[in-house]
Amino acid sequence: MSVPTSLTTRRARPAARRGGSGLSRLIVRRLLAVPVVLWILATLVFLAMRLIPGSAATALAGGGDGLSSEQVAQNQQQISEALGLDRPLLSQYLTYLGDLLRFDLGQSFFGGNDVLRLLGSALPATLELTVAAMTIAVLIGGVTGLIAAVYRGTWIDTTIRAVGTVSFSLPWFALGVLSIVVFGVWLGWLPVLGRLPNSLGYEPTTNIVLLDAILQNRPDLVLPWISHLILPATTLALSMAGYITRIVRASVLEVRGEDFVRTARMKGMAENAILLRHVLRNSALPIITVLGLQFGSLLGGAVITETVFAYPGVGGMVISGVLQRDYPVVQGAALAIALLYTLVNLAVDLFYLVLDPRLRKG
Amino acid sequence: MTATAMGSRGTTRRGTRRIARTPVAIVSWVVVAAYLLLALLGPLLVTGDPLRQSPAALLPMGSPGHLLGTDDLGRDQLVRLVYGARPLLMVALAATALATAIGVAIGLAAGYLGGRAEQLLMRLTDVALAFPSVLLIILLVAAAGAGTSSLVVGVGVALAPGIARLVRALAARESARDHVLASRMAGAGGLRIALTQVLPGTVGPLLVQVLTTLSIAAGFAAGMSYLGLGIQPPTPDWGYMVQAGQEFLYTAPSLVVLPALATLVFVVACNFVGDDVRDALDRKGTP
Amino acid sequence: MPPTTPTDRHLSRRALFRGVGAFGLGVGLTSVLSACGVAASDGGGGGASGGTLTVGTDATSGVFDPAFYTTLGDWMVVDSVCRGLTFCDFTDPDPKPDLAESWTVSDDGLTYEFTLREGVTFHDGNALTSADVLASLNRQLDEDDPSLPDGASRPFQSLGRNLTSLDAPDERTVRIVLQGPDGTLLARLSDIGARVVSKAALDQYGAEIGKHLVGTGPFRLAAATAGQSVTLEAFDDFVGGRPPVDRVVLQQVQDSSTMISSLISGAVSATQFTPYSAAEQLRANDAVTVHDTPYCYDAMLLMDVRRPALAELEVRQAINLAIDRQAILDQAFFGVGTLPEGYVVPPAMPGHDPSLADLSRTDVAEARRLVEAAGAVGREVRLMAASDTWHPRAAQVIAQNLTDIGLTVVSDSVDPAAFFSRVMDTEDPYHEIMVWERNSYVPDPDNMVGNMAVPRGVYGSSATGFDTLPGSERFADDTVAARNLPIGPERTAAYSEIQRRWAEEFMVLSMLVHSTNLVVTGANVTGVNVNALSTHRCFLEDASVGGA
Repeated sequence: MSVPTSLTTRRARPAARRGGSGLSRLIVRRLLAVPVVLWILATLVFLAMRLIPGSAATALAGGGDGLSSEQVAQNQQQISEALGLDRPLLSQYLTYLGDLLRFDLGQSFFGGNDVLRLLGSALPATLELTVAAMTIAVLIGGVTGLIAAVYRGTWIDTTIRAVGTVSFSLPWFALGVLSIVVFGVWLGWLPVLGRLPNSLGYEPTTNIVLLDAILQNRPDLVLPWISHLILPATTLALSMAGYITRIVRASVLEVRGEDFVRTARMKGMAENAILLRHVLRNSALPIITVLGLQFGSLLGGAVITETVFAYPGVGGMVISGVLQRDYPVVQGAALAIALLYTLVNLAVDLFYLVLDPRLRKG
Repeated sequence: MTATAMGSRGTTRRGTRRIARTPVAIVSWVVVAAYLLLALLGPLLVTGDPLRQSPAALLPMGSPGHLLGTDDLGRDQLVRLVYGARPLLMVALAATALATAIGVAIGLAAGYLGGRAEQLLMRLTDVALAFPSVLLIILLVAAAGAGTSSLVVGVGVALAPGIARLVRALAARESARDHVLASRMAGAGGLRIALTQVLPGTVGPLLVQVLTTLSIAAGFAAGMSYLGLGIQPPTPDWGYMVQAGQEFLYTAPSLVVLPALATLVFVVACNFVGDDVRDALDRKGTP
Repeated sequence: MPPTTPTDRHLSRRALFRGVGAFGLGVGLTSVLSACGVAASDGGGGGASGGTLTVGTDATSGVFDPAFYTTLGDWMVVDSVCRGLTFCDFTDPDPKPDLAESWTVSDDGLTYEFTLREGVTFHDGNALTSADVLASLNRQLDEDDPSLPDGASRPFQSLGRNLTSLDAPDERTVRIVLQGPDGTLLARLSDIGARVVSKAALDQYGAEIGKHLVGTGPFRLAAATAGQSVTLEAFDDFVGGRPPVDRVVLQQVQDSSTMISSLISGAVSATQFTPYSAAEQLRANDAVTVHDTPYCYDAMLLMDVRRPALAELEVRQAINLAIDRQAILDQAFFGVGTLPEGYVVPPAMPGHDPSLADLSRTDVAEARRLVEAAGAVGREVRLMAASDTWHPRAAQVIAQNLTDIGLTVVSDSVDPAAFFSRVMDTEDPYHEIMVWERNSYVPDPDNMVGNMAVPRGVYGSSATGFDTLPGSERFADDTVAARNLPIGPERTAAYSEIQRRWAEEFMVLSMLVHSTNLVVTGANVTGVNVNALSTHRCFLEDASVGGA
């Protein structure tokens, strides 16, 4: 957390210097790395799931009653065969990879729902949650960071930094539960669970509520949707906001000390104008990079937040998948999370390269 | 370990500025030291058995004989809080040490060697970073079976890539410095150069990162115990205490609030201490 | 009895109970005719109508199929969408007519002939015929049935073990011929696995039936999102009349503190997944009603006699005597339950016999003496418990109790999903003392004693190794004999004798408490069959939401 990593790691390498195609070469290289990263990850998750003791077949076989031990074992055996769990690990793995190449993520062990279809409904929900959280975090973090930088060294700065540090140290696991009790029950301001009220008939088209509200002409969806989003998104945003405060403060201060700002100041530009025209623009780069990296912890936090708020996203899918030993669901959801995160970071990298010519030229 | 002892290690050969100058920083150093003392000596400070159950369950705070009340199994909450410091700090410190060891090894090798080795090592860390740490830990710990040692390994492995990235960047920078190039031309061995010439230059920023990692590790350790994947009952552990107390949030909120607060204060103090070291380093050059 | 109109349905149902009760689970009698009374349809809570009732559940996988048990929440959906030949409403143990309006049983107790009710329609508009019943039951019996999805466990497959034939002489008659008499058949036909699905839908959807379940129940499946919720809508043509509420939503809530908050805030208006720890605070809260449902849930310890540490009967007896059941009742169940006076038959079940209370008494001094006599002081014993709900608290109390009588306890807390497979795995290092529970899905003592005291069942074999002890073979015949006695003192005595012998001579199962799943509803909710809900059964046809 100490150093905006990309500032130091993304040094201009000699390779990038050759010819004018440096940027596109870099982009291609980064793109080519994505499938490799995903493959390694898919393998790790595949193995990890099978190392976890317990199997879905036992849970499924447990539904019957009045059977002898042998019959239960036989039942388990039949279910294992049906689910392909009795086959050697290597053969299971090869099938899995083969399916993966055809974009077939398999079916849930619990009822045979297509994992891709499950993701189709869960991923938009998680995206809504994380984007909302990111927005809240950037708003809070950006404003406080800027103020802290402007009032550097004063009590305002100290207070903001202290509060920021406390906020990203908050025990993320207990935060959701506490906020439900305070805002959902004691104050009764906000709904405590789900994504939309159950009494509201909602038939998803894209499953992105805001989009569906427009497509289906359902303005009545918007307010309940926002009110359901506030608590989980804020819970998720809080620990990140403090971190953004820091980064914004640090990069604003760094840019402020640089030559061109000093030049502008000497030219007699007003301090506010400098702040807006030079400082903010130039400090945006490291901030965006950090946001990309932080997107990962946001997705991680979503796993817990979604479970606590009974929010129907990918994170909750992973947790119940792990609990039920539903391998295809966990594998699919993990891959989706990794892909999302990798793509976001790739986008940030590209953005960065496009915006900062220095990195291209070296 | 006292603040000054830590402080002398916190300064580098380049930075001579003393640490712990602001009141916040001083308090943070004291708090971190106090937690370490509590973890070491806690059992000597209170009388009572953290596991001993009694019929006097869910007594409120301030009850006679139970200053902070009792939990749902009638165990003294104060004793359990005090005993809870050790498992958390142990896991956090061990996981941080593991993360640092792995991270430094990978980062140093990559940064110093460069080329294909660097590519390979950095792809590996990319894979780890392509996945939220929380999920990584949940999977690792679930696969290895819940418990203290798998928690340490899970958290350690999940946090290593961050350190590896930093060390690699620093090492690459150091490697390009004149004195390293000079040693290299003089024909010194690779490992020797890496350890004697490159590594020292990374110590300052690394220390900051290690302190940050410690605070994250403590948060994860408590979080995983909260999820039932960490330290197992009946061992008193703050994360598990929060989880177990959660059902009494309306009737006995202190069962949740106190262990959560105990965790929070430690994590905050670690972060402030990290800030302090960083500030000290920032006066001299960039990390 | 003549056909009835809705107004006298209640009365005739009562009469019916008596009739079926006298009939006593169908041994020896030839015929019971009951042309009246669709079970459990008393017209609801004063005709309040409309609104949405949200029920909190453990999980939903978005697939609902009587041949495929997935989660309790999914099972509750099947329970609401489909009906079976018979019906247990959990006010008394007797199975009542449902899709079968009457049945006859042959003198030898082997042939059952069911006459289907007329005028029952499925949600897809088709009329119920015997072909629907056959198609639904055959899926449970035949593992190669094309309408079975991969992984289907066929929960009612045990019917096949004792079956000679299953056929339909005509459109309105279904005949089941058994190999040996089974006094519990009618009760078991009311279970969720025996629910009837539209054959037309089975033909149309095949293995996908779980996503398009079509039954005759009070609610039809409207929408489902795996991991989130299931929406059911009132079925206008339900044979018992349209339910008062328009919509039932089964909402997945996995975090127990969120469940408490949801109940208080009204986001959930009925659930049986309430943490026991919340009982007291919820009772004090005017927004919700905590129901005192009958105790038909056994919490117990299973002891594996194959482990050297538990080889001596004295040690197992000592463990049984050491347990502070009052502490478990107070601290793990928060008072929701009662001490196990009837050994494994809970108070809500016929056959409950408080004279067995001494089998679950606590006597620490005697326990210590037994441990010393067996030379087991300081012996290491291993204790395994799931890490959810009441288990960890109970396990901690038990660990303390066993330490107090001189044993050394090593505990393992297990992820609930892995627990059952570890109980089945006799090689597991912690397969020694296991904290477990059993729900009575069907209110018959056979469901407890008949399942747990048989040597070759899961309890007698995998879990405890009871079947390895000399003298255990007898219990197989004894439990079958008891099962086929008519409900009454003789049957109770038979079960009590089995239990006493089982406990005193073998002690493989130590009872902890009898409890119930804690049912809580919103204060504005009426008509929920809370007894059924407390055993994970979902009968909401009479439920209504006030002020809707």
